[in-house]
Amino acid sequence: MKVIIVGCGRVGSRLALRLAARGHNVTVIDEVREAFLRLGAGFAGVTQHGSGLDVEVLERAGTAGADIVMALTTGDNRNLMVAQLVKQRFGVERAVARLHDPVRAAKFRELGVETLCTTTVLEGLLELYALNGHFPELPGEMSVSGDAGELEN
Amino acid sequence: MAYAIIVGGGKIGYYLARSLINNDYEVLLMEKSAAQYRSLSADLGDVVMQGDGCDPLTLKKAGIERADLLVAATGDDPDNLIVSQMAAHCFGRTRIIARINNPDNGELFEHLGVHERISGTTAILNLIGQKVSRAPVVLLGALERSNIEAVELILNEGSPLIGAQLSEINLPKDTLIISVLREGHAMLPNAGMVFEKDDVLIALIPPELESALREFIV
Repeated sequence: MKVIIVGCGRVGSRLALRLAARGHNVTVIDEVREAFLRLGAGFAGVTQHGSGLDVEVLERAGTAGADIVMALTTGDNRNLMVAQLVKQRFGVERAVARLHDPVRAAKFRELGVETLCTTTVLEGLLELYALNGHFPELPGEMSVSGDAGELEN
Repeated sequence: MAYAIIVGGGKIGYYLARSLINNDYEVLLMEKSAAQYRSLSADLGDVVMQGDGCDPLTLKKAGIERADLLVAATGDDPDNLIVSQMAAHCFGRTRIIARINNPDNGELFEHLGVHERISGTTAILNLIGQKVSRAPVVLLGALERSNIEAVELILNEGSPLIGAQLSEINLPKDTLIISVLREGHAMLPNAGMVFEKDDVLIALIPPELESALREFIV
């Protein structure tokens, strides 16, 4: 699967490492070159320096052939614009925007943009913790309390 | 009195607010940052509101339901896009104009339903282009969602039109001369008018005629 990740922050870099380790074709875009340091030396994917809103940068990253684009920068609006841009300009079918604001997440889902809202996810997990006394089991090696050991490199 | 909400209190938002107030608009200028909000409200008072224009509740509090116009005027294209989309999606009837900082984003905005846009960069480039070029055909602007544009036709030395009478020349079909500028004065064209060197003709034309007209007046 060809995956493009826009934003090499904590989530972007860890996700990129995880997917690349599973053998997927991963390209990470970030406009700050130093952000790629988070990937460490063992990253099997590709990095593309530049803005995820820049059509030429997206072209060079091979967006036209991507199966999925994930917009994971720190800005909600930026992520929403990236997700809509790759759909409109490159015909990418699956594009998801990570958002902090639940209102925007809900409204843009109504507009056909796939969104994942960190606030509502966290809220839901904490509610389950409050009700059940423990966090729910998550698939695979993911753990709600963190897994710093595995990705150190 | 028409009511306008401006999102983004930077230079553009601030001067736009002042100019709309002078044009008898009721204006609300929305600014997200607390520091910028304070400095704006020291100057403009109650016209300024602190808030995030991406938030529908804030837009509602600002009175978007009775607003005639919303201008997304921040210096950030993603912000202007999301403000425009949010306002259009949640409150359909308000007219929306978005500022675009990077002209390359125009196509995406159009595709996403943000039909009225102003690009500062494009406007400045056009103005500088007009200043420095002696190109005989200068684009003044395209009419929104139509296939007509306004152009200036400059009669430089050697143009075959100089000395000709308007009624004698066979302008390309669909060219409409709406005004002639001579020595700083605008005149309405009439059939007996004789063109002079350095006359500037303002015309409405279909875009594909631009090059034909260039041939015609040089």
